[in-house]
Amino acid sequence: MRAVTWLGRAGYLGAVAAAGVLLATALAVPNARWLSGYLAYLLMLAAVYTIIAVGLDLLVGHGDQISLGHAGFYALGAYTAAILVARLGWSLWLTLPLALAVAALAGALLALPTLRLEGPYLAMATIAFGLVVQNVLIEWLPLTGGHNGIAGIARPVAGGRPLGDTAYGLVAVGAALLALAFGAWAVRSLWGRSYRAVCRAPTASAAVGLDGYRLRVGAFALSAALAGLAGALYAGVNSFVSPDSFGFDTSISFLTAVILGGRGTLLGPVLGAAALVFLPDLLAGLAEYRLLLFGALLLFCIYFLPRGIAGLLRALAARLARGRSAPGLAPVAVSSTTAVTSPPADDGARGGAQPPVAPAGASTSAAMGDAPPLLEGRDLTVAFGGFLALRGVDFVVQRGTVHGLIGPNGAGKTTLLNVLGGFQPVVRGRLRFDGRDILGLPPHAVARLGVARTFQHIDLLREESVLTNVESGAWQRCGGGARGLLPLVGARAARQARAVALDCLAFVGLPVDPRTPAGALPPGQQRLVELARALATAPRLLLLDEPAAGLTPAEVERLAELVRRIRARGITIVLIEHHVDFVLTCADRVTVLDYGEWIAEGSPEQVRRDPRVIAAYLGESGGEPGGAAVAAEHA
Amino acid sequence: MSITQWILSGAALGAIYSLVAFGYAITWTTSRTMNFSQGQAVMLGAVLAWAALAVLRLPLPLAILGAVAVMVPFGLLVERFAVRPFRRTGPTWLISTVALGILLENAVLALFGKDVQPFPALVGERPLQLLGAGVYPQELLIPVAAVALLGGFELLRQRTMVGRQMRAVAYDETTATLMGIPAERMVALGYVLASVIAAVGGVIVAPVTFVSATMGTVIGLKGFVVAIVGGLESGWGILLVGLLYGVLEQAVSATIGTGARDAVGFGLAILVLALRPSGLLGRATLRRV
Repeated sequence: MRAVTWLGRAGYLGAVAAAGVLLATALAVPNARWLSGYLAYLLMLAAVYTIIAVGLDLLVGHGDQISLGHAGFYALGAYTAAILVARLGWSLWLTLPLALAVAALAGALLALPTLRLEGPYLAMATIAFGLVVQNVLIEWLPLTGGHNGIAGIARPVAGGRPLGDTAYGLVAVGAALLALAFGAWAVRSLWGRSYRAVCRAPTASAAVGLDGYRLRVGAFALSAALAGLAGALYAGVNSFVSPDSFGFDTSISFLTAVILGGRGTLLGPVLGAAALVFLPDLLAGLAEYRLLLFGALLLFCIYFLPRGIAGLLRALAARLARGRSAPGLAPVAVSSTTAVTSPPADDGARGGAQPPVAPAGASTSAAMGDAPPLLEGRDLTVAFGGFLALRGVDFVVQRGTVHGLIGPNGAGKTTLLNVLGGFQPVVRGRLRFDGRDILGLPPHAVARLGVARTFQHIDLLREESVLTNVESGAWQRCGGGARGLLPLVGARAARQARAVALDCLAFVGLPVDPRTPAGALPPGQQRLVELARALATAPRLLLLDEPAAGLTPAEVERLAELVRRIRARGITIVLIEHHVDFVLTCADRVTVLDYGEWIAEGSPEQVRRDPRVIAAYLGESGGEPGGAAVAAEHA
Repeated sequence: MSITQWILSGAALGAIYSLVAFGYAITWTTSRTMNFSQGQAVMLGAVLAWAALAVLRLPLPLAILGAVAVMVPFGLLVERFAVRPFRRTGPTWLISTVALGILLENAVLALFGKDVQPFPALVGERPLQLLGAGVYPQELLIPVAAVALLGGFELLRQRTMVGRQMRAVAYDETTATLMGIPAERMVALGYVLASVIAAVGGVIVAPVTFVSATMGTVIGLKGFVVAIVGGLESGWGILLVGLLYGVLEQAVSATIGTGARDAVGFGLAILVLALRPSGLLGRATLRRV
């Protein structure tokens, strides 16, 4: 993403302005002959492929999806334009949005059923889709002309004349520029960052309310839309389309362009598209072995050039630059860096100018007792095959409390937490959050109601900065969906998310540069990043799964203090811990599970003395579940 | 064509789809990866057997055995070079196996040419009359061979130590490794089995479809459709759906036309997937947190 940073806002505006100039030039001198016909033709193709590569890179480079049938969407766009222009006399201009829409619709229809499952279903479905489209183009004679294709697709007209090769080349290049700028904008927007997050850390992203399914279907449809647009432009290149241009080998050539150019890079699509156009030209006579070449290039790149030509160029540039000056980190708009490094003030009643960490009103109901419980689980039962991990557990959490959940290994603590967060279906039981039935809701929907969590096994975007990780907690409520793509709204949402993130980082008191990659921090600090991310969702209920695991005694102490400060903000907490002492000092109430069954509940003092709890921890011999139990757990 | 004809001819092709589908399922269940070029492995098996027959002039049984034997190291190579380096980096293993298949198909195309070559049947060359339908004995053999292979594999999976180890790796690779199970070897074994099954499929389908460099693409694709509609975790679901898909193809070809065959087949598959995301007989798999 560093490459995008220097592009900046000026880059987007520049690209749009340049595209405007190109278009205006083309319309002003439709019959210019500045380029030889052949060169103009290659330029048109390169531009068309660039548009496709930008879309495909959205899937392959920025997401974890793949399409082996993009030629199908390309064909839909091309034939939509061809039929409307050649058969019905439309202007090619008018067909562009329609081609885009048809391909987007097809992409969404293909992705909707196949993305519901994890696995390579979509990839294979795209192969089938590509074959079916080509098949239909050949068979549906009256509409598509079969093998003969459709000829006589008129180019757009300016000043009474159709655009010549040079002018149409300029139009195509302008469109490619727009596509590149759009692609860069999209992946940098809140939508794009949310999309990357759900592909890289699906579970953690669901836990902060991001709807991975929807984001991925959206990305696929967007990618298909770009291919459709490219197809419509292509229809004007030769004024002729036929099924031969839209086979499996075409889909593979698009994929090769993206991989060779450089996955997830700004210039990759251009470089790949250029290679695709000019390589076969250089290797004239090898047309027979085109696919052999593509297959070899694909393998070569994923082995030796994982970031393609663009990555190679960037590495070279970095080597050159290193000689001159130390590479500086891109500046981050850090408004309260001092707050991050200085010890945070304990002010439960803050909020106002910044989006509050806790929703307004949450802290007023902190009074226990008379208000209905925030969370009420009854008879919760979970089965893994024949094994009952939870057997009819009742679990009630009062507003504004810290509720400890303890039990020996395998007691079902994490399973219960997963049920509360929507990650684990139950075979029986009821679960109400703030009076609302939440059983059966997917994790992201539960998260949006105000249930946040941290993970026993730390789940962060390891290559991304601490700040980005924490921001991801705020993306959903600041507008991380399709709205994040809008120019002004999206930018404002991004600023809000950043402000929330800095606020939360200051609150948990993480003494590191927020630009540090999260994966570079020691585990104790990574847990704080997870906590800050959970707080950034403005939760009403916070589920902490063994937050003290792997922490030093001093860190555990600070964590206890942090838990109290979070409660002071009016956030209810459920705390799973192995460190029984830690739970007993933090918690207002404690529930004890053993073998998936509820065995005790009460104040820490009551639980500490409960003979059933002592038996569960130490066998039948008895003893204090304080220090001795902890020792036994960690033996 | 009569309905009996659809069923008999359809079951033969459908059984091949099931075999290929099973190849995907074996590696998917052990390693959550698969050789996307399973179809090219089918083709390679058939081409190798044809070469052993026509070029080396080996007797038929020996040619078949030889071809299948060559696919053992082939499976190991696929796993070692196209899958293992990329197993944990997103969909890269998918690109590498697709690229491998493209290379393979086009290399064979360059060596073998575009011709379609006949391949002798294992059992009788003359069609039989059965319930008013004409059918080659080989077509009857294919479903039998498929059922035998699937049954044999299920026995291996459920009843032997190796099978249990494979299932353990499938369930939780880290824990299995900690328990001393050689997870990487189990994954490699999965690829060997998948390649061998593909080769057997190639050899038994060759007398019906003939041998060509491009015979694998469509078989591989339909095998995948069968694998997901049957349910990647369900061996018998795959067999059932494969047979149904084969019969459906025959029925569509006979009633609507061959042009509509694949569009109807794939369309229906996507519809089933939309209604039952885990496949017809598959059970929902749990996401672990």
